[in-house]
Amino acid sequence: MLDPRLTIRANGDLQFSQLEEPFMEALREIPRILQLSETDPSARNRLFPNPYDQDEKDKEWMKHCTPDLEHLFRSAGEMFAEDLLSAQRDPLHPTLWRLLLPATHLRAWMSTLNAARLTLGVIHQITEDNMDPSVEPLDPHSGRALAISMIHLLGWIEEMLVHAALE
Amino acid sequence: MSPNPNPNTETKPDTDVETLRARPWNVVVLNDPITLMSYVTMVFQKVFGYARPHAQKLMMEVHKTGRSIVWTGERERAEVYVQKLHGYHLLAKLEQSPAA
Repeated sequence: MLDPRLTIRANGDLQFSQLEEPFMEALREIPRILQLSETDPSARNRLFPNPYDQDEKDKEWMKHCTPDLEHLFRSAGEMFAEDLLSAQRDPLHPTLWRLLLPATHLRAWMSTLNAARLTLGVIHQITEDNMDPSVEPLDPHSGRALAISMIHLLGWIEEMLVHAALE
Repeated sequence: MSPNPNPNTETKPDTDVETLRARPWNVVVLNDPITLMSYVTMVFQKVFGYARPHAQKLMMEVHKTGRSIVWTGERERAEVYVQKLHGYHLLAKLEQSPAA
């Protein structure tokens, strides 16, 4: 079942409405997070992994497949950033936001959200236990705790989009 | 193909190389602590066309055991699938099936 803040229009476009400011702030942070993957080797290795664990075959992969994946990653990020610029304040609830997401951009949004969450996870070395506060509580003011909050916030939006993709 | 220089000797195929080439390739997806379970299930449905119950079963295997073989077959198709999975940022590997 879709979250009431996300509706699918007759033409397949997706309409976010009544999005609270923290969600918009999290979304606006994504381009900056994705830039980290350009400079951080561990994040880059996670987003563009070598599949073989064999030097020769992995070199071929990097030569022939990785450039296409990098292009896909960048164009998805650009699509996401452009859509974000169209966000408007909700006329009925000025503290809330609405945002139109074209149906053809859904895949780009999902992969961009996932890439941003993975980048944060790798940079802050987030483990399965870190993701569950009942298992391993963190200092709420630490960089890792803030990164986990962001991962959860973006995950909530991603979850809505996954449900929409399967509608 | 070059002719056998000595017709009295029998040329045997290099069975090790042939066996190696014939062995299928596994597309293996590895667990990570960040990617949503629902997202992994959806990607399996989209990339392989699996029905939701099968996609969920594979996702749970990834989640519980750390990895799952999600497809097996010829190398070229396996590479295409891995590239698609990487496009969604799933952690996917290619492994050749062990000899029987």
